[in-house]
Amino acid sequence: MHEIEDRDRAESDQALVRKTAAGDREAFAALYRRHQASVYRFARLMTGSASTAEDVVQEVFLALMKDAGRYDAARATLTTYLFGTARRVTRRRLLRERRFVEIDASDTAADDSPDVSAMLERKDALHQLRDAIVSLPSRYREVVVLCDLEDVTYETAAASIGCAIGTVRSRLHRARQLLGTKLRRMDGRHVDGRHMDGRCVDGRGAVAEPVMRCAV
Amino acid sequence: MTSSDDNLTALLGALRDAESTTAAPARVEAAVMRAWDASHAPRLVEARLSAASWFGSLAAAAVLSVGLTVVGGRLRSTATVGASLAAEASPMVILVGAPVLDGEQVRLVRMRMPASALHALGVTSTGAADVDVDVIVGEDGVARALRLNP
Repeated sequence: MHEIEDRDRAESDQALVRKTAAGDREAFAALYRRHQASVYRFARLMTGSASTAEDVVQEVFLALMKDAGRYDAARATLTTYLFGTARRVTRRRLLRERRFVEIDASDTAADDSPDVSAMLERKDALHQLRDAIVSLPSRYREVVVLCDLEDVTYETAAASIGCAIGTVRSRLHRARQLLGTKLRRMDGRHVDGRHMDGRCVDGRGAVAEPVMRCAV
Repeated sequence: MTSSDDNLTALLGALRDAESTTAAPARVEAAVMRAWDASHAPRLVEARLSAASWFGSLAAAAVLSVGLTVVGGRLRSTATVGASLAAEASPMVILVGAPVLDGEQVRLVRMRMPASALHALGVTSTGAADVDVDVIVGEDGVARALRLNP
């Protein structure tokens, strides 16, 4: 059933790309609305920055706008093309921005509502995980984001990254090991007096800028 | 699979669910579509110019062909008129009286007369001794014109 849906969607993507290449504005808008969220999430988790992710989304779809005429559906699905382009743009941005990315304030803001502690714990846990993913080396980060968070198949991930499927599997395995280690470390740091959201407390008790090292 | 693997899998699932509703802000779509419009506006102008120049060429071609047809027709008609005049040149028409009025009943009288009799009318030489003449006679019985038939 999913295969049929995927195939129908892929065919529809192809038709929309053809129309886009022919200058159909609505077709391009439809492609954008269909795929922007996954590209945005990928870029946001890869960079840890919402504003950078917005730039990445723009660059990816501007590239699609220019390359629609050259897009060959026989070589790659549109999802593969978009993630592949998003990956290239993201890596370029990370290299340009000196490998340091800011954890969005929106992610680290405390919830003012009198929520139950379980909700806060869950939120903290998700922040920890997001931070851990962002701090992974990019070759591991991208497979986690694609396969574990975007539900992309190994084949599509391999095509997007430009490596073998076996490489995706091994990187994913290694990425999960690293994530587990990082999360355990974060738990330890929390016990040591550091916030779970990755912010550090200096000697005077002030909270440092929410900066996270992001390996490329 | 260990419990820590289970925890990580569950955590990844929770993050996936939490992120599932995340999407680029509307301003990104607006920016992308503005870029589309900017990138395609020159093409539209070019297309319009192209269409305009195409229609201009078509109009010019139409005008040219119509002009050539008209001029050609005139040239052909001039040639025809010339030929007819040439053909009619031989039967010379000499006006000798008042012109025939519109709607006037006239009679045509054919007669043969000596060529020398035409000297008074300015015809010096016809190349023949006798000339067949058509005389157009008006309602008043006065000759209005002569047509010389060779």
